[in-house]
Amino acid sequence: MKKRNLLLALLIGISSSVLARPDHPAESQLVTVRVTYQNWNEYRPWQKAKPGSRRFLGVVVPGNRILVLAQHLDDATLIQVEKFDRPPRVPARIVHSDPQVNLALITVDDPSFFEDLTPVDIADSVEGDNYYCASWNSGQLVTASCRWSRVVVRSSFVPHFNYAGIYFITDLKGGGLGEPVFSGNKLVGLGRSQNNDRLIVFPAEMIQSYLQAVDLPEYPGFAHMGIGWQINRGLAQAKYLGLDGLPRGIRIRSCIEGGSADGFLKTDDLLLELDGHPIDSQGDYMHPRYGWLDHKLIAAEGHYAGDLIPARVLREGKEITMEIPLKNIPPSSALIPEIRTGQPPPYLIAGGLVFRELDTPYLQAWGNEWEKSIPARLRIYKEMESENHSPDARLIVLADVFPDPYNLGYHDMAQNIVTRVNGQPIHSIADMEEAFKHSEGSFHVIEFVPSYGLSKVILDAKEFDSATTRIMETYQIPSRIRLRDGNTSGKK
Amino acid sequence: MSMGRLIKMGSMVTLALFCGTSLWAQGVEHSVVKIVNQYNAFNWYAPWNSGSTGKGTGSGFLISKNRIMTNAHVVSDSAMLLVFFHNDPTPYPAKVKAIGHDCDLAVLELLDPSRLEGVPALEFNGLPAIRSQVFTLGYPAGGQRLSSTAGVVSRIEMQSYVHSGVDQHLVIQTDAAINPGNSGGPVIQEGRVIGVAFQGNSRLENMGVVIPVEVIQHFLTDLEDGTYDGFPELGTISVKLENPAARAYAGMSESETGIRVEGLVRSCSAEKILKHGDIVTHINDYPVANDGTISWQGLRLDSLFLIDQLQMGETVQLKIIRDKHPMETAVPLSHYNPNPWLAKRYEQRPEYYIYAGLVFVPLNRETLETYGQEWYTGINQELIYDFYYRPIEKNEPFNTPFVMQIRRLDHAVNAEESHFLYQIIDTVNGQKINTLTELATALETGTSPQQVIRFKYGNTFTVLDRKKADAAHPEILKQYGIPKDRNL
Repeated sequence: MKKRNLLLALLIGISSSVLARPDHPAESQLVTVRVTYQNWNEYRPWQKAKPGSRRFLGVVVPGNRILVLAQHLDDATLIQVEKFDRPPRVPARIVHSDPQVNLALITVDDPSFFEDLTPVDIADSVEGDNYYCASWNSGQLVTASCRWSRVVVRSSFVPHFNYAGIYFITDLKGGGLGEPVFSGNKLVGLGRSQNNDRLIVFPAEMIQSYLQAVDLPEYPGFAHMGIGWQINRGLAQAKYLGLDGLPRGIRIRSCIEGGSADGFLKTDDLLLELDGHPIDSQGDYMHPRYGWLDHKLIAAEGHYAGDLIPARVLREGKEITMEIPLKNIPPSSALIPEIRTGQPPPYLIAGGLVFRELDTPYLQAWGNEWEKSIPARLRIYKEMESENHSPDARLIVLADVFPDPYNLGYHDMAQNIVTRVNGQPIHSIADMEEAFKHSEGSFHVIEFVPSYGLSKVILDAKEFDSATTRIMETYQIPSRIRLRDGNTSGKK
Repeated sequence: MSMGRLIKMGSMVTLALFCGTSLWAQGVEHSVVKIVNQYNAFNWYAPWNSGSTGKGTGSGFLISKNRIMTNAHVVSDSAMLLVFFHNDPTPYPAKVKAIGHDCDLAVLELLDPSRLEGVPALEFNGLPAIRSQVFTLGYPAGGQRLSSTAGVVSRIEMQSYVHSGVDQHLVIQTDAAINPGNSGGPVIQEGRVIGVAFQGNSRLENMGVVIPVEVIQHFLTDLEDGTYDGFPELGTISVKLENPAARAYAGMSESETGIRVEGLVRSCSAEKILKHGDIVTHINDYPVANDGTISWQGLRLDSLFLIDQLQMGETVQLKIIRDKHPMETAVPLSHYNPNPWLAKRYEQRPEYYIYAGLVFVPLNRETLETYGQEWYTGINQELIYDFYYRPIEKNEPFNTPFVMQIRRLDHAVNAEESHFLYQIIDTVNGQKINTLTELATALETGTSPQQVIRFKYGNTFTVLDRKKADAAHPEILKQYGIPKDRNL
């Protein structure tokens, strides 16, 4: 055995020298991650869609962990990592993931995996010069220069989180897969997405905050103010709100129920200052390093949920100060959640009618142009009510009808929203399951939001169970119901 | 039996020539005219400007002394109408005598009727048989000579009339080609008119759609008192009862059939007479099948066809089952119909009101469309909700007026203030606003130092300094070339 190892070492040594590749510390800091994933079939929520695979990058951080963009781990069925972009591919597992921040940590259980890897040195902020990013391509480390362009406060695609996205112009191709961006040997950010030659980079200070948060006894999560606001540039508006002199601050329109500002800020308040930063009339503040940025960054950068931040507010002509306890607003608290965070869709088969809880992944199943192609009434719900605070209650949509003589006449009414079953208000699959236990005489009566067509489905209660079983058998549906984790009732 | 039907295997072309020849002998070509419409379609986005102008052509035919029938869409938004006769280069000025946008029909008259002396009026016939041959006459693609195409009647059913965008009536579907310019021309069988060619279907090949005599007669009867009222609306949302459980739930026996009243449109004819859950088993003694159809002259038609047969003010007899008990009732068909509220608008001078550069308009189909081609999916969805869904879901009247702001003409007095386009206005200075008149009054009568315009959704508002805004108003109108600040 020893001899063979020696031989291998020699071969590697020889081949390295043949390639004459310059050594770069990133080679031992950057690993390739391969994920096989399988989404749920949103229309047929008991089954999964065709599996797919993703290849992206991870950087080694202290504690034998690898930092990746969380989005790439969605619906993973297998996670593998590779060092030096070469086999072997070693199974890895998730240590922690925060879909809002879009960062996650994975690890390999065998500590020897990390023996020839070195944790990356993370900068405190995005500062320096001669920026470049690194990536693996066919076993070779590729570097590409990055030129600082500008900073934009971006909203995470999983609400509610904001970060300072650093826009770099780069000659890297096809990036945005978690490429580390360096200045010297210090990591200043991770490439989060790329559009032509513009690489949007998640900044070092947020990465530091995330890593520190993971190591706390309890992960606090990141905060969001949870306010709706409008600019205050006009003199007439400022005066109406009781402000003398030049317009400044922003007008509060509304607060997200359960969010940080809920119970603290009020409609028509002028928010003048947050966390010591004066806010200008279009909602920007002077960031100590990046210049004028959207105030939405204040709650997220340098703070965790649970922190108190001071606010100065003009209310009915008087300046007041207050301390606002920052809160995390989880995606699951919305009436139409943006994501299901790894959970399968809750559904129920009732007489061949497929009911499920309405969420954004369901709507996204309409394809690339889903916002245009979804049914009009669902589009209105999505735009007008999706962010309504509703930790338990969901909208229940009739996703499909599997035709059978039992449900004759109801085959074309998918995409309607349920209001009641047998007189009981419906806010979850659990509610539906319970309501179907109490028929109205010999009928099940399912009511939907009134529309230009059918809004009341009558089913024969006596045949209900046998028809459901028969239809499931005919259409090869293995399981009748799936409840949301921990949900027994969606009652508000 | 006509000669035409004796040619058993004759090709369509032969048939067309044959029929054509027989008709030419009758001089029918003199009765079919070309109509040139110089239109002026008002601009709802810049309502103070001249509209878009242009020329459209269609066809028409004489139905009685100085009455030329054509499609409403041929003569809509007309500024000047000219009628041309076969083989006669002289244009004859005409005007619209009556127009029914809900059924896409219009009647014109020549300003000088002397040209019509000796021109035979075409006569109407009833519904043609399915698979029987018909041919069209008209001036497709604006040509100078009368042209004819032939085909068979492939289907007779209720379909959408695209001109208004909201109406459904009986149509005859034929495979005779109907091309732009054919619109308004007669469709003929055995020398008589069986319908008016009016629309095609771009998704189907060789499919022309014809307005049948049933609809034409309704239009003409309606006109007898000198004004056009339009088709009545029962105002029910009725649903099929194909599921046996749904019938049993309603207490229907095996032999009973009908449709269930699922919704009642606010203020419509049936609102106070029918109830949710009523089962309509007969309409004017025609039994209604569980799929909502009735049998009429051997055709199965949507039962709403029977309402289409009646005029506003007439009464429809219904047999219903309510709370499992059969009963009879009668619904007088009121003059209220929500459809025109939702429909596209023609010949209507757009209403608007401008204050200090803020342009306000009523919420309607035309102002929604000013948003752009993707208005339905792209606009603030609260507008779609309020316009199309709220009346049904909240049982509110369709014709509740709303006002929205669609533009801001930039000026120092408004440019830095918050503004919100395509949002419905809720209040101005605390007063509830539904119409442009209310808006104008609220903005022009108060004394508060600021004008506060609050919007219905999202807690947004716009504030203007009253004195400065009042002072800037005439200046803005002048700068942006606006002759009038309102058409209320």
